[in-house]
Amino acid sequence: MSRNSGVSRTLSALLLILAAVSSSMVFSIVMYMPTQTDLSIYNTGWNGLSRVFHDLDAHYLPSINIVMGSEAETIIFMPLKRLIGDEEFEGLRSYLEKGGVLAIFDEEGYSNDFLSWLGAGLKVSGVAVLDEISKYRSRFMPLARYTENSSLTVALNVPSYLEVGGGGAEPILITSPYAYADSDGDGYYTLGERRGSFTVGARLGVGNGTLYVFSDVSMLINEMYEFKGNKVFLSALVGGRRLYVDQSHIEAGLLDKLKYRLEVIATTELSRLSIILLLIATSMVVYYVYREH
Amino acid sequence: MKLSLSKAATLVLLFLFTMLMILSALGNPAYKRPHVRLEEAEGDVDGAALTMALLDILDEIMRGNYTYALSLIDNARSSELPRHIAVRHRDLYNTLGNLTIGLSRLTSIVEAPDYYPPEEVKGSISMVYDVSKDLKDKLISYNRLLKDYTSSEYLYLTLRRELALRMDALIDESITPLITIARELTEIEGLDFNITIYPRRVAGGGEFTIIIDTRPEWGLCNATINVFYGYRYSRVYTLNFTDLGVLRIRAPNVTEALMHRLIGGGYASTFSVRINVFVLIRAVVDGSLRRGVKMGYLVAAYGRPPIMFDVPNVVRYGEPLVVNVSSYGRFNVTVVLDGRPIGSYMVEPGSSRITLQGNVSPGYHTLAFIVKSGERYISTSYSAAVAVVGRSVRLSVVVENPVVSLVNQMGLSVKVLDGPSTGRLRVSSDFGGVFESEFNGSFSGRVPVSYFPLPWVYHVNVSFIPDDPSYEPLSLSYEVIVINPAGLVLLLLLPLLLLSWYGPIDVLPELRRPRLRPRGLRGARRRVRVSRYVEFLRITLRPSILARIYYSAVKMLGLRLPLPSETLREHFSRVSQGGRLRNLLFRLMVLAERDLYSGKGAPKEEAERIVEELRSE
Repeated sequence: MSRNSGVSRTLSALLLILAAVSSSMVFSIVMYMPTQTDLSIYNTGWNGLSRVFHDLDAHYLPSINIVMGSEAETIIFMPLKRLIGDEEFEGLRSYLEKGGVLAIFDEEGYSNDFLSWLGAGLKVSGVAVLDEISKYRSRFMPLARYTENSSLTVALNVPSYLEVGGGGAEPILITSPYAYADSDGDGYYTLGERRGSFTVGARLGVGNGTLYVFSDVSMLINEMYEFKGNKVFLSALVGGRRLYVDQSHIEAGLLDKLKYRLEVIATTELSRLSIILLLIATSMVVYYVYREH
Repeated sequence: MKLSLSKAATLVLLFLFTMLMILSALGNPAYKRPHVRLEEAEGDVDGAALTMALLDILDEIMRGNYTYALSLIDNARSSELPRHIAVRHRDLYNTLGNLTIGLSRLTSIVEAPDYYPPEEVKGSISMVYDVSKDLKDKLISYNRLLKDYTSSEYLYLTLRRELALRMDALIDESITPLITIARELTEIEGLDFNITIYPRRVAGGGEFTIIIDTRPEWGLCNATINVFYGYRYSRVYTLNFTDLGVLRIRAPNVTEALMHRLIGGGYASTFSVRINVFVLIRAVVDGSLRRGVKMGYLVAAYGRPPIMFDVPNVVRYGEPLVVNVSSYGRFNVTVVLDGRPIGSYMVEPGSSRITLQGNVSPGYHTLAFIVKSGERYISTSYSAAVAVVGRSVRLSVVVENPVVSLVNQMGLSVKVLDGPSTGRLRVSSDFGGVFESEFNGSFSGRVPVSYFPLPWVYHVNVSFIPDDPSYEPLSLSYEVIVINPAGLVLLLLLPLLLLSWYGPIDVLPELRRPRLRPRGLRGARRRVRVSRYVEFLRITLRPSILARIYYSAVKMLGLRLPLPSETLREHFSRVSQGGRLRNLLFRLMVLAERDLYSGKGAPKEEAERIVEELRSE
């Protein structure tokens, strides 16, 4: 009887320690473990946005409302891997018209409905553009020239191209004339595939603000960030404004979502108070259990 | 082993931790077009793309755009390629660069022959001639090298043929005439006359006039007029006149310009072609045949049709597809759906609409608009992808919210307002709770939302998949608060249960005062379960032997026994008298106290000796 009781106590103690360790590990993981989600600001791997996020001193954008009221001092990077919902159109236009800068990074046409609604005269084709001559070590990474500084080239990663027509948009990133649209998606040039200089970045004035559309989302990822003039270009784009990175249009995993929540909590005064109260309550419980045993 | 809540909670935490690890590992969703890692992409070469780049550069050289061609050559020469290709690649582009520079100089010579000494002209002619021969061999060798890097044999052969044709054209139609003209211009001296060309800029297919102004005293003049279109091909005209010769020529229209590759390549919206005119005059002056040469030029402009098509990305099945068209001209447009022409329309200047009727099956389709070329506009095709989606269903969905249920089942009522009534109804939520059923126009009942017992907010998706394929499935999402009363109680009890972490807690030990507590409170233990999670520990205490001895001594002395509410010392102070007996009884009481409370016991022998002394007193 007493031996069983001893084993049970030891087991309970072990489980207690294990629970404490696992709880703290869960918390640590949520806080500090990088994710592997494509285009996540918490992904420190090759396809994450952690470098852009930290290098450009960016902030997480939980909602467009956060930047309302400070439109003229802010810029939003919006990488797209899912559609911009109809309900977001008005908010984004309002942000732009009041002087905000919105940079959409979309290579598959998720923004086309929004661009059409806005009358931007821009359309993301969704067809990959490759270049065997003007490239960064692979035709899948074509170079694009910045029209405002011809010595600055930006390395892209399987971009698509923009169809620019009407609406007043002006191209700012252009591929070399050797580029071709890989319409059949085989990764090689096929007879009949469109060739020439393609627009991969365009700018449009909307009200007092500016809309940038880039048909390559990969120029933001960690692996591409240091290549060629990408870092300089993105810094120039931010231009001293407070940068917010939108994460609501990527395929975020559970861990990312938990981190977003924590990010919001960490920046909310009310939530800070809640955390302090929670910590006090937890400490009291731990102290009580300790005293009893 | 009994599983207490604390242990269960630990296991749950461990489970959550494991799940989190798994989820974080799986948190890399698939994407339609992934980024490419550098190490995966390096080393692979697209031979066809390299050949096409070469063809483009040859075209630019033939058009006489030497500066642009040189910038393209520079760019291409520095391309990063595997070493075995890079060596020949650079060699070829160096030769091509030399040829371009040579041709550029020859052009300068023919356009301003007076500025160049004959030796320099001869040197340039010789250099261009040699380099062009060298280039042909290098092109053939380079093209063979790229065979292994071209995706298909057919493509390789096609491009090889194109390359050979282009090189022949460059030599026959550009290099050779240039050399000939350069020679003639530098060798001929004599008659001085003027030529005027107007207009200096003409639209494709438009007319331009060449006026040759000689002197009346020269009499009958014979003029040979060489017209070079971008140094790509030439036409020769002859004219006999006195004093003033006039020749009207039509610039090549779009079809001719494309045929001779004067335009094309890239997707620029406008093209211009320089037309060089060389006039060679022969006349008998002062009894001898004399010659003179003059050169002039004009520019022919071509463009793409100024027309735009705004095609909707998505159209519903059975509904007409309306394409908004903005045009600055009158154009004939052929509409092609998935490679099959479906109609021809005349588009007028301004804004108009093309409405395409017909039942196009649901799915993705390619729509192309071919704008036929005119005299100055290049025939162009615009294409767009259109998704035809099925007709939409309208549903009336009533969802119970908030849900209070012991089994987490939500009340749901669905009715078709517009559309087919048969199909499948599917309800799913964040955590489990998938419900699927046949649907016949309406549904009313309860569906499971989750197995999670605690109160939570769920995203519930109600989907209807119609049997009729011409209708799109409809999916609606709701946020539902589910409160499970049992879970709620559990949540409220959780703090209490957390306090019972270290096994069951001795919340009410039963102590029987009259029996006096044994040493160390180490009596028999017995657990009394009150509920699933709460149990009491009952400790039945053994009586102390020394306390019994003390009691017997008190009895022996004829004193009253302690009351249940009294401590031994309270009792002692009440009943004790003075003298030696008091001292002995006090020592016995202390021993009893030690046995009861110290946890270490007390010597029984000493107590028995004191009792003997009391008895002897």
